Amino acid sequence: MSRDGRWKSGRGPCRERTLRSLGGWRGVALLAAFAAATTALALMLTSHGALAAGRNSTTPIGSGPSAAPLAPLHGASRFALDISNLFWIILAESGVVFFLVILALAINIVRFSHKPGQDDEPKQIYGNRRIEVAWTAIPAVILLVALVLTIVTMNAVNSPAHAASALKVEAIGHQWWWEFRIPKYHVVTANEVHLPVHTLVQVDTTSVDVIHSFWIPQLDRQIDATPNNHTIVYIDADRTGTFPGACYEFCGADHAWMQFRAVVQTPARFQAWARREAGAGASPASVQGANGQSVFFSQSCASCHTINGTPANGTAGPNLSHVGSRWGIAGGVLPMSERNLERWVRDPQIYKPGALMPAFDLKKSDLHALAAYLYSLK
Amino acid sequence: MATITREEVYPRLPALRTNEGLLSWIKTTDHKRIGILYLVFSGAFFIVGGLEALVMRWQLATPNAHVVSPEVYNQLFTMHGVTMIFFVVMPLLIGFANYFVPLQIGYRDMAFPRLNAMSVWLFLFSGILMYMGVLEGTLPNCGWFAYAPCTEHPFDAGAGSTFWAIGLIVAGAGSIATALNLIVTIIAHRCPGMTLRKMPLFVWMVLVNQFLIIWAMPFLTGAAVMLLFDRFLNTHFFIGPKSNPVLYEHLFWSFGHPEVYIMILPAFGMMSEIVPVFSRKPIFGYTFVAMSGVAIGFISFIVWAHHMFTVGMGTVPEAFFAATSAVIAIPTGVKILNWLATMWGGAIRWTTAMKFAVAFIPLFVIGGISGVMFAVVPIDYQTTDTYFVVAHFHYVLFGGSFFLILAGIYYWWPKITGRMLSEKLGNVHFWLTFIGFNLTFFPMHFLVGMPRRIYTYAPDSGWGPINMIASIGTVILFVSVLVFLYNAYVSLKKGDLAGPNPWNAWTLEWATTSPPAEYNFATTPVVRSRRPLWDEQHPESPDWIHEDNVTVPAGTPPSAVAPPVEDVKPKRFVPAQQLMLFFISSEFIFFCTLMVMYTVYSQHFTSSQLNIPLTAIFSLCLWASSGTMILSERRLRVDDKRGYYFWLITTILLGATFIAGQAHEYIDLYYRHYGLSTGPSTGGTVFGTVFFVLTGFHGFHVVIGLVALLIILFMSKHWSSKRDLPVTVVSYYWHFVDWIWLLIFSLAYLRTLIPT
Repeated sequence: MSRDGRWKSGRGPCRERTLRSLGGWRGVALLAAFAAATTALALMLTSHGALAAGRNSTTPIGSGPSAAPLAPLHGASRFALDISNLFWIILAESGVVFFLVILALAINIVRFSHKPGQDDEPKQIYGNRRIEVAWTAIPAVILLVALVLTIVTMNAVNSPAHAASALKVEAIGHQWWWEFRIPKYHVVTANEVHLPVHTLVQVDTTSVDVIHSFWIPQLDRQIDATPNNHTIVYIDADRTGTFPGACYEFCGADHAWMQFRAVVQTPARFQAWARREAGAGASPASVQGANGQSVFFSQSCASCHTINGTPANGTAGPNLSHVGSRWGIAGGVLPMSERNLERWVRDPQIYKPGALMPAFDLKKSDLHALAAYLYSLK
Repeated sequence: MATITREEVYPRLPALRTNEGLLSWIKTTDHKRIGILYLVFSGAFFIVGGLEALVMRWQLATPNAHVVSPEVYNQLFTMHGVTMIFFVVMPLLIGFANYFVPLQIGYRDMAFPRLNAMSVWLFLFSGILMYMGVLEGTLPNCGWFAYAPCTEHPFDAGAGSTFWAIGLIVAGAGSIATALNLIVTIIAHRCPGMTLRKMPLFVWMVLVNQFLIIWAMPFLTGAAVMLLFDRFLNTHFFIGPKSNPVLYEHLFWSFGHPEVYIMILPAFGMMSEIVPVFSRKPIFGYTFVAMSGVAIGFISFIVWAHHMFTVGMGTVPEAFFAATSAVIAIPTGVKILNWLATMWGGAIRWTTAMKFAVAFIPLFVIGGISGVMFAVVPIDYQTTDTYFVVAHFHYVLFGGSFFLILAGIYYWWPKITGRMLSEKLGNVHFWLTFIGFNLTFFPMHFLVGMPRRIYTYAPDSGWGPINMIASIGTVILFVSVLVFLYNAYVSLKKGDLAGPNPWNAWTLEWATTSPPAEYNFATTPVVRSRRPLWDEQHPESPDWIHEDNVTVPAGTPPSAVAPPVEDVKPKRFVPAQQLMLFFISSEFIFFCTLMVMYTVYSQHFTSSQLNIPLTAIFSLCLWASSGTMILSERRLRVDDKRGYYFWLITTILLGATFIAGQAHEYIDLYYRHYGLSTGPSTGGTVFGTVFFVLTGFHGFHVVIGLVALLIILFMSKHWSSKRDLPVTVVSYYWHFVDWIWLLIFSLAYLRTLIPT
């Protein structure tokens, strides 16, 4: 195999002809057939979903009341801020590294591209041990700095001072909703938890079914809620407001709608909320509400749901004592309203396929009454 | 014994007509055809996986979209991941390795051509198996990692997760077979002069990679097997009151992180081939480039838990895995810098292959930087399972591996097909891919906060516009694939003829015709350096002067002082022995996964119900059979056939006695209600789960060993002192199943004697 000489001739490695003369009609036909086949396949894949979605394409899924978006870099607690500060430091460090690599690459491209008439092979360089050692050692130092910062921040976030006196909150993942308990105030609620500002809160997470992940991006670090395990995170909010949270570990069909809200309040307001939340559900104030309550007990609702102060004490589903006061229904899949409660009770499977709650085929008047009763549970 | 070749042991089968028609592709054992089959099959899977991505991006382009239902979306993202990882990137790299490793090391085929054929068909059928659930309407739908208990029967009653587990066990068997084959090929069949120090870097990275495969795959097999047991036999590995689902995560990522490097190391090897050729310089710092690959391989086994920083492992383990994850960035960085240094001072030819290779550098650095950010544990707390991660691993796997695969396709296409791809269309393909890729995935960095794997999102989330941009990028990527297919079609029809060495490259695959003949090389090549074709073209300054530090006296041609060509054939073991030994190392890892599960769960039960003295007697039979096997081999080596028969039959009888003992023990425990899922106490369920699976798998291996011994026995008339290789190889396996029992016996039986 003698030297081929392609490079020496200064030509490209292959001659070009026009695109049209290359392929001919057969190429175009093949391409068209391929495009048609892929489109057909895509349509087939989507048709199942389109059918399922067709039923509820007008429902206002997920358009709950606005809160700040899930934004981990806009921390509202010292732990989230510690982490976002670290993020910017590491990003800056990385930016310098990236810039240097791009600089070297740009110089390579500008200076060392092959020029016409450059026939000889360039100088053959095999390596340089000193350079190799240097560019092994320098990144090691950079990474060591990052590692030290890592450990410092980890300790700050995971083991804060005075952890023993923190307010204890339990977050229990279910497919697909969050149960919250605050034992000190006997609070049992779902999908919305209130927290006192400037107070260290310890959240103990677990799950009753599959692995979930508990995270209020602006307030705490992400932590998995795993069955048979308990994990701990800390929150110390530094301002009041409503902060969205969500499940971040894939947990089944409706992982997308396992959201919740954390409402950070002044300690006084928080205590008022906690007392009300632990108290009995409101008695029906209207005839329709009273009818709704009797529907609630004549159907099987009470076997899965609890309403404080009534015989309903089921625990498979969310506690409904104050359901009407919450921001949304079923992990944010519907905003809270009487009409939406009605939709949900009639056929939850439209909104959350696979949810444990069955559909209730009730008379229209019963459905209205039940929704009115539930909505009145503020 | 080392002088006996395979051909002497096994007379060649009658020649088949292997050169014509579709049938010839089905029955081929030619490594080049098998390589092409790998590339074509994975290309088909790439189209499927790409379309899945397209549908997902269609669904996510706008908030509250209803293109697909949540169930279908979950199947789409799962199958997109599974397809791209196991049936596209891995087999594409294996396909290139299949085609080019024998060529680059100057050999005529793989070490075990028929095993090679088996591997490619296992790969294809495992892919089909994975998609089988579509007939029932449920593809796997719990993510490519299939975390238990989401995949356990109560939460996923469909067939999807079952096909996931079975499909990956089959795919794993195929991968391990081909990995063993490549290891032995590289170790045993390099051409004269090709010491490890002179091996092409692609071969180096493929070699490291195959070790990752044989040592990482068993973790996945173990996890998949336990999942299947849970789903069908009601064991309680990852579900039930005493189970710990986090163990599944550990098992999965013990495989999963090496897998990440399995998908990039051979691509690094391609990079180290392509950049020097088109920069017209040798690789800068060969030793560092090769050894950094080895370092990455080793470290990749101790970084797995950085996928689990949100599990709540505690500060100390998290800090450990943060440190190892940071360390693995160093050799990776060394490689990048060496490639940049290789280009430095070169005369860079901007072919399409080089464009893809160079574009890889910034894209991979972006992915690498976000990777290092995940090693900073608190940042991982705040970004994991968000679209920031999606952006990260697409930069590593698409911007990294897949760009290099495309570079490799443009680089090696002329060798495989004998024709050139159009550079003009290649240029269009490159820019569409580059722009489409960045448009799709760069914006995702700004979706930090958006959870992964959600099928839709609310309009007030603010994620709509970014998702729309990403979806538009996907369409551009789709068009780029069409351009490539068109380019390939045109090239195959009427592309320019390539000739043996269109790029004026330097490794051995370019020393033969394009495409190479079935036998690859008319005569076995002999090399003295890493760039044999450079030496041939430049007799005045051959590479070995630098590589071997030879001083050439002035006035003499270098060839006069050339050092002798080294013989590189391994002295100690022949290929079949090597194959079995590496296979045993892989099996050992599999047993380790079972033993670890036993150890962890043994805190929940006492095993006082075990009859230790009786089992000890049966165990002695098994261990004694290892000795009688050695005696049998010794008798064969002195051609004492009667002695051979006597000891071989004794071995089989002793092994059968052990199995009979185990059967007796199982029946006894069964009647005392220590089943897999029921037991006298809740502890019984956990005991049944880990005890029967651990000892049962061992029993299963003993039975396989017995079957192999029986085959050896029935074929005895072929064996003599000159033909004892099959007996030796089976005996290795037999010794393994005997002595792994020592570990299991100590763990499950003897340990209970220690008072707690």
